[in-house]
Amino acid sequence: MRQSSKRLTQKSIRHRLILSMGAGFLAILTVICVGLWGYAQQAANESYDRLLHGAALAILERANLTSGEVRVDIPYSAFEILGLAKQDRVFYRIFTQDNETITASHDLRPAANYKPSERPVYWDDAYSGETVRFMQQARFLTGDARSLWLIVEFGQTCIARHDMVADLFWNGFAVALFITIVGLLFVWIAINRALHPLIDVEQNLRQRDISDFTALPVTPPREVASLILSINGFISRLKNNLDHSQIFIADVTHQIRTALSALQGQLELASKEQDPALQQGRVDKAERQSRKTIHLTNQLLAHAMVIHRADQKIVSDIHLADLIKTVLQSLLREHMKSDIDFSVSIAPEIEDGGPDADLIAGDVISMREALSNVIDNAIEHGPANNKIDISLFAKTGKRLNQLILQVDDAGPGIPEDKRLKVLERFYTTETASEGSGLGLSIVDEVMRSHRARLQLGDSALGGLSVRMIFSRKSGDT
Amino acid sequence: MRVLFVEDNMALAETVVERFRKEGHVIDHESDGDEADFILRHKQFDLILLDINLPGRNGFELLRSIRARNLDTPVLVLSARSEIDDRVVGLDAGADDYMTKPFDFRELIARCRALARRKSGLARNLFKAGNLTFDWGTKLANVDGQDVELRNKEVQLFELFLTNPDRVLTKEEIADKIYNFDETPSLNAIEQTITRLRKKLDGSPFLIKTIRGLGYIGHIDES
Repeated sequence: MRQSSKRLTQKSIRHRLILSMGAGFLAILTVICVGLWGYAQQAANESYDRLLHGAALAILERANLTSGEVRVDIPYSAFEILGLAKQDRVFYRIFTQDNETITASHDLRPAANYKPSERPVYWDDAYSGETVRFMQQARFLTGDARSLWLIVEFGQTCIARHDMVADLFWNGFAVALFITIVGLLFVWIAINRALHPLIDVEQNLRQRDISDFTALPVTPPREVASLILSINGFISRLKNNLDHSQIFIADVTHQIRTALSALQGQLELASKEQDPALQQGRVDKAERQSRKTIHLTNQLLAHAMVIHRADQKIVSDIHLADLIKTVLQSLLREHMKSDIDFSVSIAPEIEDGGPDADLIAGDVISMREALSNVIDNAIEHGPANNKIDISLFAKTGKRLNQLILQVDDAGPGIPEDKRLKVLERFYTTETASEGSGLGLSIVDEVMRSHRARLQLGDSALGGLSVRMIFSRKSGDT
Repeated sequence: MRVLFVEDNMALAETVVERFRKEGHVIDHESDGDEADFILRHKQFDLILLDINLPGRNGFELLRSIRARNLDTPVLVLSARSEIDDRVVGLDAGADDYMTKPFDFRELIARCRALARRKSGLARNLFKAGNLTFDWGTKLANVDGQDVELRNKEVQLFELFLTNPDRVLTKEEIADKIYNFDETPSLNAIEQTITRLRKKLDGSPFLIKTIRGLGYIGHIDES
């Protein structure tokens, strides 16, 4: 329930597309309406202006100037023409250029700044409480004695015009609206068609059993196909990871059960043993086995911890020189009486290179685990009078800014052909050793999660040389 | 010494209690954080052994309330969580030492002894470990009943190690602490002083481990 309601509140592609398309259509519709309104008004005015013009011309045609007198004979046809706009009232006035009224239905004002000409003049004005369209047309009359401009002025109310504007506009609008709706419908259909493959993918993933790692069928279009290919890639990586985990769990189960069986066996033998001296021997063996089991468990947990922390991407500043000090401090507590000769050499360029000369970015806890495993490894596998050298130096070049943490020992070393093997889990060079076979694989995991390189080689001290190569973090970034 | 052990796992508690009694210590066991807090308000202990995951209030909360009352009994924290984050929290909260389960009993007892001694030694002005005694007042050291003559610098160095057990002290830190402005400390001289001190206290449980290039760690060997 929660998921589906969440799905509804999230923006869907479909809603977003339809909203943006709707907005586009609305904008177009608005532009069309504005244009349509202007066009309708122009068309209505032109039609009815022609009527006025026609009537005026009909009147002026019958006007003449005889012996200085203006004679106007208003033809019936003129009013018939004007009668075409049935509901409208018409006002008229016929006057001379000197504003001398010849005949008139109402006292109309002439147009402002009017200069008589053959061309008609139109304007709108308020008259007797409504909007009235006015028109003026002049004709030059020539007589024997004098000549003058005779002017006809018409005023017509706008009911028919408004009707025509509304008619034209709403008809046009209906068509535009229809086209918009049909367009949006097509958009809706197109979006649904386009999204259909995605819905298939969704259903496939939703209905899928968690143990089903088969690939999704790759369907066109290309955009969806590449998404499906990515999902398939992810599925296969997930499967790989799970396979590895299963192998790991099987390995761990084997290791722990074996160790516990050995412990159980030693304890049983000890409890059955009659001879107290032999019994003590058995108990000692059981205790050793218990220590081995504890060590194995600790290493397994450490291994799980570094992997878990790598997944969490915990990153902070690590000063490698400080790290060496803290790791040695806690490790040496258990080796105070040993004859192992420890030495630390920090290159002068780091010692004197400012506070950030030994800085890398990483997870302090995993790094401590890694370094103590390397040193522990050297202690466990080396002789009692081992020499363990820990050195820190830098390698810088044009594009190179590396910090190298190296641990050398005088132990038996690892033959070259086994150096890759020892990084694997549970592989140990000694058959009956105390080693869990996890130490160097923990180091390897930590190096990998820190994008650092791990190199195993021959040491100048005669044993193994473990190099951990980090990229240095510059202090000012 | 008198120890309070706060631990809710009965099997582990039983073994620890038995081990401590065999060593001749008085140990009280408590399995609940709140009850342990109650007992600590009424009884005095030389040392508290504290588990972290407890019913009632957890070990860190208990530790904080102990320290809030200005009770300076040494506390050794025991925890099954191995991440060192915990260690920082534990030591910051006022713990004196920290051990991860499963632990070695010998190591546990050794550390308890060291903690208890640190406190009682300071109170009585006398440091005592195995066959070694050192009087903080008269600056006299004694190994196996034999007085050991220590020079001025050696005494200062010895005191520095005793107050910073199991810690790496760099030559620079040592020079800082035992030389004043007028003296020009040579790192060589420090090395010689260390060698002499080591020789004079040979046969005692006091050990100095050298880490060439880094410094020295002083340690009292309890085994």
